[in-house]
Formats: sequence, structure tokens, C-alpha cells
Amino acid sequence: MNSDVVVIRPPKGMASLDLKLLWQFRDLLRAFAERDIRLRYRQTVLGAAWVILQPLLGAGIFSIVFGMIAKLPTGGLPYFLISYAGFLSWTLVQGIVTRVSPSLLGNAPLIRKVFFPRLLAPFGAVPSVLVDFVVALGLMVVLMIVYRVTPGWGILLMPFCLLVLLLLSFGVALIASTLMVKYRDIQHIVPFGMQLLMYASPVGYTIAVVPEKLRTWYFLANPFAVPIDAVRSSLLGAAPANLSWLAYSAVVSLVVFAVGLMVFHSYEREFADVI
Amino acid sequence: MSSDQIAISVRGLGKSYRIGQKANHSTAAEAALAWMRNPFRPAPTDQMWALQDVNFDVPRGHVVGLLGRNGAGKSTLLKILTRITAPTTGEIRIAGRVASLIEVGTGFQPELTGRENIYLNGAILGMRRRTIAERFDEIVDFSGVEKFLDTPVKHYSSGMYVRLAFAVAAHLDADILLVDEVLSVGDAEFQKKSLGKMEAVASAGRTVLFVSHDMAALESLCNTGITLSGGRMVGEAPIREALLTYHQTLGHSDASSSSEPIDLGDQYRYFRGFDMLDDEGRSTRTMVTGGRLHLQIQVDSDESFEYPSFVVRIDNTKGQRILTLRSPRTDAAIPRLAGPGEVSCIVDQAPFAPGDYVVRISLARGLEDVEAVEQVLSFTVRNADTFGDGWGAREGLCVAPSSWNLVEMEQKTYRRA
Repeated sequence: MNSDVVVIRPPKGMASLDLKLLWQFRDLLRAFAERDIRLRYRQTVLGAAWVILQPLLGAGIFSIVFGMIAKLPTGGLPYFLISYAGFLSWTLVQGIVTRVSPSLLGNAPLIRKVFFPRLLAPFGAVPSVLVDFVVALGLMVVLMIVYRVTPGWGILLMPFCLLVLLLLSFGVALIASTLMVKYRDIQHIVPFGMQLLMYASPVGYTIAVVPEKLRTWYFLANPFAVPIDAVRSSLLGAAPANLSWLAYSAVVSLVVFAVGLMVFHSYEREFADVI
Repeated sequence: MSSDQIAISVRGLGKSYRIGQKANHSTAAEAALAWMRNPFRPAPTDQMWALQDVNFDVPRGHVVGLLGRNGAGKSTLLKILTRITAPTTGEIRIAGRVASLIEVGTGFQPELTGRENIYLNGAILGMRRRTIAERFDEIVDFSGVEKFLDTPVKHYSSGMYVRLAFAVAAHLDADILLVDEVLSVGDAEFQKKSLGKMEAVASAGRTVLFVSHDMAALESLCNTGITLSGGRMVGEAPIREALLTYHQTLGHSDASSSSEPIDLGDQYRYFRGFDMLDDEGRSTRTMVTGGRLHLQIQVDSDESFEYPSFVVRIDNTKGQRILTLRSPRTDAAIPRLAGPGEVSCIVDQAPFAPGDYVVRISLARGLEDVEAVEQVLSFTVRNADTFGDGWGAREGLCVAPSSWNLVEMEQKTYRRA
């Protein structure tokens, strides 16, 4: 019986993550995910169609603006495909940041009244984003067949790039979700920040059009840029990604993810008092 | 007693809230501005101790009642024990799996069906999916909503909602159960059923910590009572003794000590605050017999609540119900509650005899209570000759204005009906 003695003490500095507890509550992750997916696909009139429409419309506008008005070079590929491949990664990044960061506020009644490992709230918001991503990826495959584009061996790099994007955006979202509990205006700042980030990232354009002398600064400042572009080039069989910059992004993503976890965890036990 | 037999051990427990800080900067912009003005001096904050120096042990298999008025720290104590919030000082050791029945139904999603909500709620309360599946039929059976299992719960009546929520929570598998006021919702029949379930749990040798204002339930379920007042422990005794002492203190204190509006914070879904006002609109806890009773309830609601029915029940300190007041259900009804508001309840000539009274407020849909605050306030009625008869109240439970006259007769005969 003494095996499961729980000791409750005041929070003091950095406590280690209670993995045993997370494991104990693992079914809650599934329950949160199921809830989000069900609600998402049940409430909207367009349902699943909305998930496809968003990147389609986005890619349509970008191919008009960047492809037809600005006439950016395409390397022989249809511009629509270029911008859709950009939006594919963006679906993931934007989905994670905009849906994970309000996950604590959204579950405020639960956090006030029920105990569960708080980390499951942000983690539970991830699967519904992944479902959206898979739907968008399915459409990407259709588009590639329609446009007769074959990926090269570079496609093997895609899962790695997606993982980097996932860690990076999840880390950012964890920090935002923690701050949002205390500072409510963060919820207005996040969508605005994401809009800026979209234009600052190679979503509607490729990094080939970024001037050579700006690139170092561009890659340094925006760790999202290289993996987003690499996902596209791996799908479309275009010029392979710069591996050393990709490695830089991977390191940054690990750091951001770890910092996000630390920030979240160190405020975790105060959430119920502040939210 | 060896440590093996202790289920919950609490030592030097304290919880303080910093007041002022949260209200000062709720946006990052404000915080940043304040920091720019005064980078090295943090905003002044006050500490408020919700609990201080609490020590007790609960032996395995005991059922302990927590007594104390609103704001005494009962809910804070339960929140710390369930790990919802962290203590500021002290240490707690809990041996065994803990489950809490606090605010049943939190986490229900209106759009999801009853079936989906059973799984979601079970998972939120820490149940394994397999366990829920095993007990599914039992849960449905207990709740009595089997016909509506595949209907979104937003179409449920509040009674069905509460029944389903309690059914999930009541089938939790735990060695230690923390229960907060779950029996005060639902209709009388379901309350009885819930009480029966609680008795079964208690007699099955599980450890229970029980918060309720239902004195009869406390007396029948608990072995011992722990009394809290102002965040401190004021006593630990066998339940009968504890209840008796608690009852005696109930009537007093308020009349002289506090005469400030009662802030319920955000512990309730609809109720935010409560107050009793005198003729000048000042907060009071005293009135005269036959005088004007003015109660004010601060409310709020996230969604639109159609035809809310507010109920005020007033008991004397012997536990007898003296008066039940309901907001009307005629044309004069309150059409809806959709956001913050203030409900006034005025009785022009409140017929109370001198003595101490306790107020319970609730919000109902029809006759079913959706939310209740027990013993939200107590007040004292002083004797006065309000009706000008020269006597005031002398005996009995209530007073009423009366007129008297004598009609003189011509003859010495009584008129027969």
C-alpha cells in the first residue's frame, strides 16, 4: 500500500517532470484529442471541407499575388503547387501555435476544479492539428498526381523537417499558453504574430528568391524558414535543402521545445490560482 | 497509531494568495508599462491566508466531515488535497489513490453525446478507458439516462445532466474519496440515491473527506468532524459533538463582526456574491422583527439561462425552515440571465421572530436546483415594536401585523353564525 504515497509540498524551483503521473493519465490525452476532433468536424457546416479549403484558398491567393502579379521565378513548376506545398507546412505550424496556445484558457473550468497533469491540455490539442495536416497532405498527393510531379530521394528528409517544425511550433505554443494564463492580451497578439511570421517565412515564395546576402540573417532570425522550404523541395523534387541550416533549425527547435516545457512546468502548479 | 493506518496526514498546511497582483496587470501590455515606469520595484501585494497551520490525520477507513462557514477554507483545503492548487507551506502525505467529487459535471461538453461525455469525464477524473468501459452499464443504469445516451448533453435537462455527472464520479475507483457538496443538486429522489451511494462507499471501508452543509447527511455518514474557521482549524471531535459546537457558533459572530458584502469569488458557476442591506442600502446582518428584509445576489452566467428561478430559504438555528422565497414564475418572472447582474429580493414586512437565522440561496430551473450556496449568510433579528402594538414579538416563530377592534353590542347576547 505504501507504494503509492503521494507527498504534496509547496512548489520549490524546478521540479522534475512526473512522467509516472503523465503515464497514469494517458487516456486523458486520447479523450482530449477525441473531443477536439469530434467538435471540430461536427460543429462546422463545411466540416472536413474547411480543412482542405483553407490551404487551397491561401495557395490560390498567393499564386495570384506572387506568381502572377509579382511574377516570382518558379523553376519550371506551377506556382499553385509551390504555394500549396508552402501552405502544407504552414497548416502544421499555424495549427499547432493557434490551437495549442489557448488550450489552458479553453480548459479553464477544468483547471480550476479538477486535477490532471496540466501538460495534457496542450498535448491533447496536437492530434486534431495532425489530422488536419494529414488531410491537407492527402490533397497534396492528389495535386502532385494531377501535375505529374514526382518527388526524388529528398522525400526521405521530409519527416525530419516536419518533426523540426512540430517541436519548434509546440515549444512556442507552450510558452504562449503559459503567458496567456496570466496575460490575457497574449491571445490577441498570437494571431497577429502568426500573420507576420507567415509573410516572413517561405510559404508563398521559395528561399531561392531571397537575395544571397540576406540569407544568413534570414535563416538565423527565422528558424522556421529552412524546414518549411525543405518540405516543399523534398515533395516537388526541387533543389535539396541546405543541410547545415536545417541542422541549425533542428537545434533551435530542441532548445525552444525544452524551454517551453520548462516555462510551462515551472508555472504549472499556479495555474488554478491565476486562471 | 502506526503510519500504515493513516490515509491522509496534514502537517503545518498553509495557503496564501497574493491579492492585488492579479487584478493589477492582467495583460502583458499593462505589466510591461508598469515595469517601464518602475523597473526595480515590484508592485506592492498583500498576502491573504486562506489556510494557516492546519494539522490533522485521517485514519484509513474513517469518514471525516469538514465543517465551517463559507470562506472558512474548506474548499481550499480540498483543492490542495486534490492537487488542483499547491500549498504555500507545510506537507501532506496521502496513502492510496485519491478521487474527488468536486463540482460534478465540470468538463462536460454540451456538443458531445452522453456516451462520449461519460468517457471524457471519466478520463478527466483519472479513470482508465478500460475501467470506464467495464462500468459503463453500471454508470448508465445509475444515472437513468439510457434513452438519451446518444443525444448531445446540451439537450439534457439540468437534472439529467447532474445525474449523469454524479454517476460517472460515483463509480471512480479510489481508496480515498474527497467530496464537496455534491449532494445539494438534483431533485430530492436523486439526492437520496446519491446519499445511499455515499453510505455504501463509506461502509465499504474507504476513507472519505466530506464537505457538506447538509447536517443530517454529515451526522449519518461521518465518524469525526473537523471544524475550520477563518482558515484555521478550531476543533476536531466526534461528529455529534463537532456539529453541536458548530451549530452554537453559527448564529453569532456575523451580527457583530462582519458587515461587508460576501464575495463568493469564482467558486460557483452562477453566484458571485451576496449581501443583506438595510433601509439605507448599507450592508447589514441585523434587522428588526417585522421589518424590511433586503437581500442582494450578485450573479453571472456564461450562457443564456432562460427563466432562472432564484430561491432563498431561511432557517432558524434549530434547523427549522421558516421561509422559502421564490422569484415568480408568472408574467413578473425574470426572463433570462445572460451575463453579470444583481438580483434583489425584498420582503417588506419580514415576519421573523427575534433570533438568529441562516440563509441558503439557490438557482433553479423549474423546481430543480442547479446550484446552491448553503449557509451563505446568517443574520440576527432584534425585537422591536414595528407594528405599533406596544408588544413586539413575545413568543412563536413569526410575527404579523394585526388589527383589533371591539364592536359593542346592544344586547347581552352573542351573535351565532
